Amino acid sequence: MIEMLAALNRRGRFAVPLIAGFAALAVTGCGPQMEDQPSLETYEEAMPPMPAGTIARSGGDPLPGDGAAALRNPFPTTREYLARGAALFAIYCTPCHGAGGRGDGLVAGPLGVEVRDLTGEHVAALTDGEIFRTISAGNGAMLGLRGLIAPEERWLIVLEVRARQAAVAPPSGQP
Amino acid sequence: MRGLSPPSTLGLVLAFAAVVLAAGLAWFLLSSRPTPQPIAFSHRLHAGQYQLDCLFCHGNAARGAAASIPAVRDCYVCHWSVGEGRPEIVKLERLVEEGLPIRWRKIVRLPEHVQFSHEPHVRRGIECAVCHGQVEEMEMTHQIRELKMGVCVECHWENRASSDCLVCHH
Repeated sequence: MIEMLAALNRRGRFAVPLIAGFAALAVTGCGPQMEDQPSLETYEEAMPPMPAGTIARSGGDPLPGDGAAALRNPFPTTREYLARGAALFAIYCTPCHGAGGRGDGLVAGPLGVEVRDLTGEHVAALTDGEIFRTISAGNGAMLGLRGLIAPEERWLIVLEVRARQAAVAPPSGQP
Repeated sequence: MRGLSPPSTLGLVLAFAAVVLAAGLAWFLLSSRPTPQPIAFSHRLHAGQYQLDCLFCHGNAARGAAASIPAVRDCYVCHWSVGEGRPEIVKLERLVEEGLPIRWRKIVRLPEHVQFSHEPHVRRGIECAVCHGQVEEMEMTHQIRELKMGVCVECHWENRASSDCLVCHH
């Protein structure tokens, strides 16, 4: 092999740079690398656009409009769902609304707007569906988080918001 | 070249060795250093100072294989107001206006022939820092350890996860 390369080199002045080039290619590798895992680029289309009239078999993310108030939380208040809701609340709501939901999160200051107290009267008066819509599509200074939180996760967060309201103001009739 | 004697076999071997060494050194230096990104995003600021949970932006780590990077518009959940006018945020605004993605550079690399999914690891409560390090202390993130098969298998043993070949090699 070496003799062959040396013979080649005697003939042409480009052999050394050529061999060096091939060696560099051999070391660094070329072509597709399997270590590049299939992850989506931002704005990359995950699937071809669906034909009109396609019906979702599961999930789906209808952005409720006027009908939001009537939407019911598909998750019952069980210990398991509450635990998941609390964990999701800590991830997605705490930055602005604070760990207690009082509107005193770390990001509330830099945002420069008044962040709603989730345990206050205003949010307590909303229906589950309206809270779901606010998380999804935003309201006022809050932008919608539908790109960051999956629909079922949003419903679990609604459970947690209700739990926090109940913790602050016990339902009437109880001491 | 005519005035020079043809290079000896030894010379060729040395030249080859030099190229291999240089390439190896370049790879080592490039792969172990913090990589500059198109926008100087600071994990120290977001995950450290403001204590944003990893899943706030990388929520898909709890749902599927790729941890995912949020769409540019999702940065706007906070940045419609936070940091307005700062040079890096101006870059972000320009990308949103032009509808262009941010071409983040990949930092953490796995060996070939292995399929990794974040979801089962997050579900089991494996801390992100086990593989990714304390990103909340990093201005620019870098790969903290080589993620080779030994690392995976050891952790799988410790946590009594399956070490069947097909768990990762499928």
